[in-house]
Amino acid sequence: MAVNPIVSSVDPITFEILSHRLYQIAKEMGTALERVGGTVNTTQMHDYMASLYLANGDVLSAGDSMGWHVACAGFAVKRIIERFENSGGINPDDIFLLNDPYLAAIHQSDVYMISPIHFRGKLMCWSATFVHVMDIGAMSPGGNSPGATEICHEGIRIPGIKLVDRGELRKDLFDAFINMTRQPVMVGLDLKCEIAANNVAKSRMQALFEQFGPELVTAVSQEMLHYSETILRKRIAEIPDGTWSDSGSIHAGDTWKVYVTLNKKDDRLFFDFTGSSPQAKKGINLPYHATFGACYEAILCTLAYDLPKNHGALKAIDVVAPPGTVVNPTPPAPVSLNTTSGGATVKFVANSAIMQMLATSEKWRGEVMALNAGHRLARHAGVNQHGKYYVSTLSEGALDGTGARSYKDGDDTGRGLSCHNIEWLEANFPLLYLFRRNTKGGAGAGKFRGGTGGESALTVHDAPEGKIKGVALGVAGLRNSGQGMFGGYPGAPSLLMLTEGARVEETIAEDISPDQLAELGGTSKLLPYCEFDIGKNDVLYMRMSSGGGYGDPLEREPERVLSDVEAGIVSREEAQEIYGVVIDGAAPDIAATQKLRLGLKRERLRA
Amino acid sequence: MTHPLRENLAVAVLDGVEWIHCGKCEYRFCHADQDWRRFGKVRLLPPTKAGGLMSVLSGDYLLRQICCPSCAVLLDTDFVEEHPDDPGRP
Repeated sequence: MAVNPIVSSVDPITFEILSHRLYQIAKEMGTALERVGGTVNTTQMHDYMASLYLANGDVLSAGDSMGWHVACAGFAVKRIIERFENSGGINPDDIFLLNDPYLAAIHQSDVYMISPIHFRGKLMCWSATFVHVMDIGAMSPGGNSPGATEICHEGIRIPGIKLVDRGELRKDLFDAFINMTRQPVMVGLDLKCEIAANNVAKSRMQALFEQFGPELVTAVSQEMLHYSETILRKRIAEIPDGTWSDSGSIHAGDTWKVYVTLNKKDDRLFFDFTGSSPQAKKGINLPYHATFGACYEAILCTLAYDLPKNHGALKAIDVVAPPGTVVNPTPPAPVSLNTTSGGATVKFVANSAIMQMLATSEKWRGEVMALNAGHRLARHAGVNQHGKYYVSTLSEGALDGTGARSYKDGDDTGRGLSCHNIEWLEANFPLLYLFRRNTKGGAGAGKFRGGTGGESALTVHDAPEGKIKGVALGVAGLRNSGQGMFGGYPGAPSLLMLTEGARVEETIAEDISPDQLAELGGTSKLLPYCEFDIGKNDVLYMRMSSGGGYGDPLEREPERVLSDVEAGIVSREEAQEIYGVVIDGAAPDIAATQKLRLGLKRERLRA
Repeated sequence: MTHPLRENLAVAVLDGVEWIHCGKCEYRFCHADQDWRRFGKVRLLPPTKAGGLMSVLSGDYLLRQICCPSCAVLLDTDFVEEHPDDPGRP
């Protein structure tokens, strides 16, 4: 047992109490972000990170934050230590700010706040947060800039400043930062909610040191890392050695490829992204620390989902990503679009390789699930119905369907962060939703089917300028759906579509719900990464990707297919053609189903 | 060493050699160090065979299915590019 020399052992009950307390403190930091923050990103979409780090910057406790953000914040803490320990000083009650993607951030919009936590004058640990701020002064409102060809087009880039000096906010720096954005008030609120969350962490950690003593807390911290590392390595060792690979594509005018090879030997995992495309002059590039973090997150979600999320789980993996590629760019490559393009693709291929690996283990194959490679969303900006300029997010990407698992269907509209409330959105911005609902017919077929994604449509309403600006982003290209697993079918891809000149007002005036796009007319076009305008009687339609299926659809229980038909997820025709299930009235016709399935199998062999 | 490879495929030692075989009918695909996909029954279909919403993929992608040549259990389904050398799709 690796413990502090002063404390020779930690009893299991104390270990459980303190490790859960550390988890809870990180969670409470997140609650503080939501309570103090005010943007849709922070309060509804939960696009933030809050976690604790050891004095050397190693991950201590991640709460409920996403693994890749937690790993990147660890890099951020270490960069701050390097920058300030010998110059400028690291003092009690300091708070540092960093958002440089070539040091630690994923892209500039993720603004990190990092705070040392001292007890009786000694640096004991760190807290760190980020929120995805509502604007960062980039080419496009909201930060994600489809037109950027270098990082200097993508807004403010801070390698590390001391924003709070021994408890005093440096207002000169604070004002300088927020005034470089389009929305200083909301960005200021973003920064202040981060300061609040770091203050919560400091207060709780100092109380913990006071109650239990710094030696015991430190010993438990070290034991938590040791525990996660030991259990994870044991689990990896249980899986047969081998090599697995996959690739993914990013379409944004040109096409970029991401390749990964996962090598598993003994109790270690080695991710190698060699062969991936050269870096792009488009903001899809993912810095190395984020590529590393994506692999870390893939492990946390599969082999370590029940372990304390900390640095121990990070020690069992190595990641190679050649410099100058989309998975390890060098300046001045732009990055602003990366979380939902290069990042989503790296996560997809890393997870895919892990799923193939897990499938070879009798013990772990039950954890396999189909993965979703799709994720689209949009920013919107303009003058709202209250006469104020605003920037905000359409976070529909949270409504992707999840992939099926080896033992159950995927979740409908259940993936990733969370989605904004429509009433709140309409009250604050000049938008009117025509509908938001589950997509029909999108779920990937399989022995277990994928979760169906959501679809929604909106138009501009009561906009003083008659229109607003939109920015389309995410995993563009049409092969961005949930991937089928082991015979399961892919789900329907996500897409953003703008219809101009539709009969929206006319339809509403006729007292008809405008929920059937085909009946609204107008001229439609798919939106790649781009800026666009939405005017009166224009409709923005957003269809989220549906999850892929698992296993052969001909092995799905006919009663489940019937249930999907009744729910409108599968049509009767698809039930016959894809699942080979014949429905007679309100029940499956078992004899006819067996005959049809036999015929469909013969058809496969004739191909 | 005997272990599963994926749903309906397994690796087993038969006659002193590691084989990839069908988990349903035990059809032997190939040696364990070979790519089993090359030994499966492959068919290419229009994307809409996976559902009506796949129509947006028509012209760019095909639905590829690989099944066991003996019992026809479906082992892999994916979209593949219809014109893989054509870059620059939206």
